[in-house]
Parts: sequence; structure tokens; C-alpha cells
Amino acid sequence: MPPNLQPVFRALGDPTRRDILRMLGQEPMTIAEVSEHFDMTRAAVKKHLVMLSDGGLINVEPRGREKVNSLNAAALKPVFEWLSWFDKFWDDRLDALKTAIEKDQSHDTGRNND
Amino acid sequence: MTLDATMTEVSLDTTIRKSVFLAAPKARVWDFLTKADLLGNWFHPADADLAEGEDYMLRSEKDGDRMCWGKVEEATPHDYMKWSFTVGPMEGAMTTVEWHLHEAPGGTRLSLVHSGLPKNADAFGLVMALDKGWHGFLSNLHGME
Repeated sequence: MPPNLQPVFRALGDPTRRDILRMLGQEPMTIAEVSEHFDMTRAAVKKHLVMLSDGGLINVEPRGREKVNSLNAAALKPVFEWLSWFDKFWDDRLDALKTAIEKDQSHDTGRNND
Repeated sequence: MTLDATMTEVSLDTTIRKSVFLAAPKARVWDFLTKADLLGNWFHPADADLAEGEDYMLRSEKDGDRMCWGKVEEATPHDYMKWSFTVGPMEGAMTTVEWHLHEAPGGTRLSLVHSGLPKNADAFGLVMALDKGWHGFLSNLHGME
């Protein structure tokens, strides 16, 4: 099965999240520290961090009562290799299309047999 | 005539080609490529059905974020469609996606050609921000090879 690239794609699709990622590339930060750099609520920053985490782009580790976010540069590797990135991207999508059409056709067949 | 260096460079192939057999008639496959709701079954839901000459926008089902967009440059129903195509991280750089539908025994052979991809990420501007700290990542990446 090809890895699912949608989460990393989603995570990188937003300029604020790319800014956060750049900052975490400089140094690991807690949510509070990240929030200081942006004119948005802590909850909004947290939502962005969750999406970055879903995309595998950051590691989140507890430090005392807080959580420290740091860049996982390995997850960026396929992104910098656009050809292989899209190669897997289309494999994922065409697999999904095949599945969706098979479901659709068997549904039609079922209906015709009724 | 000798082969000139420029031609060699131009012929470097960055085109992605995929082909898949689908157990459905061409007309139904076409619907999956052009109908807003059916696109959502395998790609992302579109703002509207796709039509020749019109812009299209595929959004995340979860929160409406823009995922893929461009223009339907050509559409010959059930046979061929050509999109300009970009995704969020590409910073608006456009590529070309072409869909070819061929009748095959028991269904349809669908071919995808994705062209216009640069050889490396530089041209997409994702690395635009080398001055903003990306070079740290890049040296990490080189270290992994």
C-alpha cells in the first residue's frame, strides 16, 4: 500500500502552518511559545499544530506539564522530491478511484438484480 | 547534425504517467472525473461540476480548505480532458494534468499524464524561504540520503 500523502499535503497547504514549521525548524517550542509569534488564539495555533502532527511534520513530546513541538525534517523529504511525491499522490488517488468505481458498479448490479 | 546539449536538457523527462483499468463504462468514469459529488468519492469534492473553459476548485471535505485547483482547458466528453493543476504547497505554480479514457474489454482504461513538473522543488518556491530558515532542513535532508 502506498503511504497516504494527504495529511502532509494538507499540513503544507497553509501559509501559517508553513511559517510555524519554519520556526520549529529553528528551535522546538511549546504551544504558548508558538502563539507569541502569531496574532491568533492559542486554540487556533493548537489546531494548526495538530494538522502538522497529523502530517508527520512535527514531533510532540511532553516536557513537564507542557508539550514541546519540534520539526520532523524526515517527513519533508518526499515533499522536496516533487516527482516521487506526485507519483505516490496519483497512485493513492487512482487506487481510491478504482475502489469508488467498483463500489458504484456493484451497487448498480445489485439494483439491477432486484 | 549533432545532438546539442540544449536538446538533451529539454528531453529530461519529468512527466508522470499512470494507467488504471476500471470496471465501468467510459461514460461512468467520465462522471467520476467531472461531477462535483463523485469527485468527492475518490479525490476531493468540487465546488461545481467541471466544465470546459471553467476554473475548478477541489476542497477538503473536512474543513473546506483549498486542496487542488486550476482550469479545465479542454474537455471532450468521455474521451479526453486537460486541466491546469496546482496544489496548496506549490504556491500557485501551474502544471498540466491530462486524462485519457479508452474503451477496454469489460470497462475503461484510464490514463493520466501529469506534466510541467520542474526537476526540483526550487521552481515551486517551497524552498523560496531559504533565507527564512529552510536551509537547515535541506542540510538535514541531504544528510538522510
